[in-house]
Parts: sequence; structure tokens; C-alpha cells
Amino acid sequence: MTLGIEVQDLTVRFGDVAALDALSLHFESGKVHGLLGRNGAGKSTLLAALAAYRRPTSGRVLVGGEDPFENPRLMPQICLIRETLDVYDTETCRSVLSLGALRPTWDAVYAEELVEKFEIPVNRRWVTKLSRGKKAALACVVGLASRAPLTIFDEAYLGMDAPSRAAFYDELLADYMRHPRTIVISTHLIEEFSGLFEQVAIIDSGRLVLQGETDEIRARGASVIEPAEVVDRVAGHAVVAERRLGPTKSATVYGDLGADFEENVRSAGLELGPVSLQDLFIHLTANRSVKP
Amino acid sequence: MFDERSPIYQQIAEQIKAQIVGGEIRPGDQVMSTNQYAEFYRINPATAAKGFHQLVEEGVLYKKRGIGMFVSPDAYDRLRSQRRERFFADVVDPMVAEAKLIGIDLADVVTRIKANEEDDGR
Amino acid sequence: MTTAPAIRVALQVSRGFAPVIAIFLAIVIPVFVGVGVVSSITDGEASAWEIAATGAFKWFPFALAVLVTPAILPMYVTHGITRHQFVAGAMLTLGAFALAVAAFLNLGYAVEAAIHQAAGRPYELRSPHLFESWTEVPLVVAEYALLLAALLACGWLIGTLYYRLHWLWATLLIPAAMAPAAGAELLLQTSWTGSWTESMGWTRPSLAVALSVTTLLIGATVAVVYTLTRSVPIKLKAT
Repeated sequence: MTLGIEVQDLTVRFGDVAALDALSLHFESGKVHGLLGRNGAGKSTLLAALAAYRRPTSGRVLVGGEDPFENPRLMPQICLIRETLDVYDTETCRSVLSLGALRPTWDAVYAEELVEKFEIPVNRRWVTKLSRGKKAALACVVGLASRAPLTIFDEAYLGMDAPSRAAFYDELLADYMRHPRTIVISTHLIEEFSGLFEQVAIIDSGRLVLQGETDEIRARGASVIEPAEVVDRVAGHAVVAERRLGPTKSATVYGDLGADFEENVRSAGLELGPVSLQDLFIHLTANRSVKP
Repeated sequence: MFDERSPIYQQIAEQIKAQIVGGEIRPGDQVMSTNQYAEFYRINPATAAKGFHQLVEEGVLYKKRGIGMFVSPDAYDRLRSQRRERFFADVVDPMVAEAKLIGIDLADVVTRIKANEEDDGR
Repeated sequence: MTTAPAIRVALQVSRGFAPVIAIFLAIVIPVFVGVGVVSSITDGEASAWEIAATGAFKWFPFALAVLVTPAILPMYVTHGITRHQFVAGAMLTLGAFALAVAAFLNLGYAVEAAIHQAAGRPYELRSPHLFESWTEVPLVVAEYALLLAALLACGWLIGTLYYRLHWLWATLLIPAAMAPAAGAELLLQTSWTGSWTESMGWTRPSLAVALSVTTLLIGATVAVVYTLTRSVPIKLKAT
């Protein structure tokens, strides 16, 4: 059983700052979703609202059609893993793992396997005494072994080195295929994780910028390169970025490019290049000055 | 492994087609399941499934319920003839254009082609 | 879930606290045995255990209660427990804890009395109590359990105030948050407050009134904790 998510006009305010501003989106059940956004875009706030860590200021969050906040049927089915695992200073690794059994879907055997696989020294040790990478690994173990129908990773693997992240990626993919569930991953490592995402949502300043299937979004971006005057003629579509190098200009366009776009570009003698999801993300969220 | 040139599912479909034309998988063979494909190439199984779906639509693969995906009996012939149709437009014409661009005499190109033919004959 | 979530929470929280409590006991008991031995050489009449009962066995549990919301609530919500379930479970744990401590104190008195008797010394309790002699087990347990439960409720409340409100507000509210515990001591007329009111000539209300009003005070404190906790956001801890 998996859970779909519906967010309707969700607003979350901290004082007079709106971290989320009438945000609406829909995460289809049973899929792996990527949530992209700059620092301060509202990703963590959105995920906290989905997991019932926070109540909306206004608007609705519906998980499996119901409001998750203080919902004793839903909350055990939603697992949010954040970087610090919300643990008290003198909590031991073992007790964290034993608390996992509070969830009906928890798989203790799988948790032990993962602990070994990621080489986390869990015996007779406080969580805070683990290195940053091992702490992150433990958090990811809890998230994976929870087998929660809605599992959310909020940049949980940030402290892990590249090989560990790759191991986490592979394990997540494998377990998702064994036990399908709805998974939402928020990340800054777009290119590294984009292969996992069936759908992607980009939020910025508390609002939804775009959401759709990963392949479709990539297909809407293109970079047109060649002599500057020629590019200006052809790139009639929404240009989201431009670069110049001497007589050459590169324009990144985004939108429903249409079937003959490619032909027009090539017949004008221009080079057509792809745009990575990461570059698209950077361009689409660049309309404001960098946040500190 | 996959670049951003076209949607990943299309690249998967192209790869399988190339394997069929190259003889690595033959008509009637079973192809890897979407999950196996996903695990091997480290991609979401839905993406792999989309690629397979496209091949089923094109008639290159067919599905045996409960068993898996198989290469259509006429897949090899069909793909091969498709590539033959496009050979002159996709391969020869660009080569001629390139030769002109860098100033190579077409007669020299023909000589080289003939030399290749003789090598193969030996 | 096969067992009620509140009970599971109570069990887990107790298991969590068990090591800390074991260490506490490992320290406190030898200390007071030592004190008892020393005082038997000098004075010999006063109960050292009584001092422990009004000292360590009050404030250590109080410290644990303060930690309940800030330290433990986030972990439980992370594992899918609702705030309602957590409050119910913590209430069970703290209540059971108060009872267990009260029974333990009673036992301590019994042991101490036996030691005094064996040494042929009189045995005296210095502060006012509900009970005349430690042998009145129901009264001993009632007194200590209620006093401690009140104190635990106040500690729990203070911890919750710090978790929910700005630390400045929480600090300003500490006196108000401690009022129920003070009220319990007044009503039951025990320990220092008791000595003070006794010397002022004030007699405590009837046992039934004292016990029931104290229980109401404890209930009211827990109700406030519940109100503060039921929709509290779980914030990310700074690393």
C-alpha cells in the first residue's frame, strides 16, 4: 500500500515570513520524487508539514486523502529523515534502532543488514559520538528499514562521502523495487540523484516553479550555440540564460520547443546541445539575487 | 552512461535496438526485466519501463504475460532495414559534407572505400 | 499495533531512562549508607534516609522530568508516535515512576529502622509527615507518590515551556510552573514548608481534602502540558 500526497494552497508562516506561500502540488503515490530548491526555498518546511512535524498556517496537506497531523493511523506510515535524526545527546545507536520497532512496518533484520553494510559502529556508542558520515548513514538506515509507505529523505545523506552516497543510492533503488512505496527526496546533488527520480518538483521562495516527469522536463530545455546574430534570430522561445564568448553566443531556452524547433536550429547552421537537469534548475531559479 | 542528449528512456530503447542489430540479442531471446535493467544502469525502473514500452509500441519487443519481455521475431530484420534506409542520409551525406568542409577530394574517399572492401575480401 | 501505543511509549521511555536511574541509585545509595554510618557514630537518632527522600530522590527525578519533552518527544514523533500518544505514555511513565520511588523510599525506611533497632538506637523522623511511623505504608506511599508526582508534573511543564516558547518567557514562567509542587507540599504539610506552616500554627485540611486537591493540582498541570504539546512543531536541532 502506498500513499499519495496532495498539497493545496499550503502556507506556513514564521512570524511575518512565509516559508511556503500558497503552494500546491501533487506527489503521485508509489513513485520516487525529487524535490529541488535553493537554500531557503521552503523544501524542509514542506517536508515537515507532510510528515506532521508542523501544522500549516493555512491550506491543506493530504496524505492518502487525510490530514496527517496528529493522525494516529497515518503518522506511523510516514517517515521523515533529516540530517540530525532529531536525537537527544545521550541517545545510543541501539536505542534509536529499537525505537524503530514503534512502526508497524519496521524491519529489524533489514536494519541490522544495513548497519553492517554501511559499517556503522552501533554497539555501546552514543549517536553524537559517530562521525558525521556515520550519523548520516544511521539516519538513512532508519529511513530505509522503516519501510514506511511514505518515506521522506530531507538531504539526509549530506554528510556522507561519495562512495557512501552511491551505496545509499543503490540500496534505496533496490529496496524500492523490492518494496514499492512513495519516496520523496530533497537534494542539492541534482545530477547525482536525478536517475532515481521518476518525477521532479522545483520550488522557489515557497512556491512551485515546476513539476513533472524528469525526462519531460529535460526534454524542454535546450542550448543553442553559434554565431551571435544567428542565435538571436532563431531562439524565439523563452531564453532563460545567455553566455557569450567572442563571436559565439549560447542561449539556453526552455519551453514547449515543438517538433520543428530542432530542424529550424540545424537548418540555420546552429549547434543544438542538451541541458542537464541541474543547469535547468540553476537557470529557472536564478531570477533573484543569491540568498545568504 | 546516459547523457542529456535525449530522454533516458529513449537512450535505453536505442541501446537495445543496437544490441539487436549487433546480434548480441536475437529474435526470440528474453531481455532483462525492467528491474534488472534499472539496477544495472542505476535508474528508476519506471524509466526503464518507458523505454521498453516504446519498443513494444514499435514492435521490436513483445510481452509474454507473467514471463517477461522478448525480442520480436522480425525485430532484427526490421531494425536492420530501418538503418539501411537511413544509412545514406544519416551516415554518407554527413561524411561527404565533412570531406568538403576539410577539403578532401571525393575521389580519395572512394579510393579509401574500395581499399576497405579489398581488405575485407582478404 | 497489538499493544496500545501509549503503553508502548511508556515502556520505551522507561527502558530509555533505566540506565540513568541505575547509575543514580548506584551513587546515591552508597552515599547515604555512608552518611548513615557516620551519623550513627555521632548523633545516632535522626533518619538519614529521610534527608535523602527530601533531597536526591526529589530533584533527580525532577531533572529527568524536565528533559522529557525537549529530549524525547522529537524522537518519538520521528518514529511515528503522535503527540497525544506521547503525552499519555509519558504520563503513565512518570506516574509509575512516582509510585515506584515512593515504594522504594518506604523500603529504605524499613531497612534503616532495622539497622537502628539492631544498634539499639531510637529512630526519629525530623520533619512533619502524613504518617506517624514508616510502618503506615499506604500513607507513606501516598505522601511520597503525590509529592513526587506533583514535582514531576512541574518539571515536565517547565521542559515543555522551554520547548514551546522562547527561553525568556519560559524562564519567567518558572515560578508559576512550580506552584503546583509547592501547593502539594502545603496541602500535605510535609518537609520544610510543612515545618514552617506548623510553626505558624496552621493545621492542614483533612486527609481526604488534602489528597484529592493535590491530585487535582497534578491533573491540572498535566492538562497544561497536554495543551502545550498537542500541536507543537518539531523543529530541527542545530547540529
